[in-house]
Amino acid sequence: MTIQTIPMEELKTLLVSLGAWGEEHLEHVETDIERTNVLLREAISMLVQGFMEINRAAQAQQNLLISLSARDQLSQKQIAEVAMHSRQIESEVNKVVTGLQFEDMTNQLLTRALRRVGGLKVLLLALANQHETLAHAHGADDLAAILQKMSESIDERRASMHKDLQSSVNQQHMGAGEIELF
Amino acid sequence: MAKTILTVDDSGSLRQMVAFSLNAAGYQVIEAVDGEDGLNKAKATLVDLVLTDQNMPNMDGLTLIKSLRSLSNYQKVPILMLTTESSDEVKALGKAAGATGWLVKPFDPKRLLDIVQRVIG
Repeated sequence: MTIQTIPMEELKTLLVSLGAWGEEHLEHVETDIERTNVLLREAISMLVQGFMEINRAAQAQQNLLISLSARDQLSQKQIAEVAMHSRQIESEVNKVVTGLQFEDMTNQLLTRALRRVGGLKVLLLALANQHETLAHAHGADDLAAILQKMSESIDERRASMHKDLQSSVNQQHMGAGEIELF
Repeated sequence: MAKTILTVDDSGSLRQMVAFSLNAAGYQVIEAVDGEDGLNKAKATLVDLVLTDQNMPNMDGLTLIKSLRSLSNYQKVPILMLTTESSDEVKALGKAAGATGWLVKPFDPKRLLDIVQRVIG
């Protein structure tokens, strides 16, 4: 292929459109992720507050029942039922405490997604801005050099993003994590 | 006298869950929002155990451990990492920095309590 056969104007238009279109969509993705993160944080905050209050009320109720049983105001059957409910509450409380920690992990994943979107936006902008450089291309060698430079810039950015954005969140289930003492 | 535990995490809900689980067992809990805050609070109050996250703004968990281990009164205080990081590579770095143990998030309150009791009684 020679430079005469390359539709330079169309190539420039394509790069500008790709950059602008891509950036516009990524802006929306960024906004949606940020909103999701805020909503998630607020929801978890409300759940934590509610959980604390419910737990306080359950504890007070439990203490009242214990004092009634100490004064022989409950039958043996009722005392056994109170103990059973107490164990059940404890087990459910443990599950809730484990579950509420997922806000921390989802926040880390959403933050990483945001940084990736930010990196992609920079790449697309760099691509769109190349139309200025392409306008000064005279001949196949010039064009080849510009395209080579664009590829190198993309590779550098990709390597930098890969290094910075390694995920530390590997949980695939809702169970508790491993424990190791050194 | 209740033993004091310093929990260092940039997630408010995580700190609340740690404090909730340990307070219920009679431990006193001090909260810090990142490694830098944790280091300042550890210097202000000699705690019996440090429970720290790894990925935090200002100062990460590994740097906090190294900083604490450089202080004469924190050379033998147990430090547990409580983090989403579970790779052997990062664990090895934690061990080399002076961590006593590694807990991968999320924690189960009963298991957390069990490990805390094993480490500080």
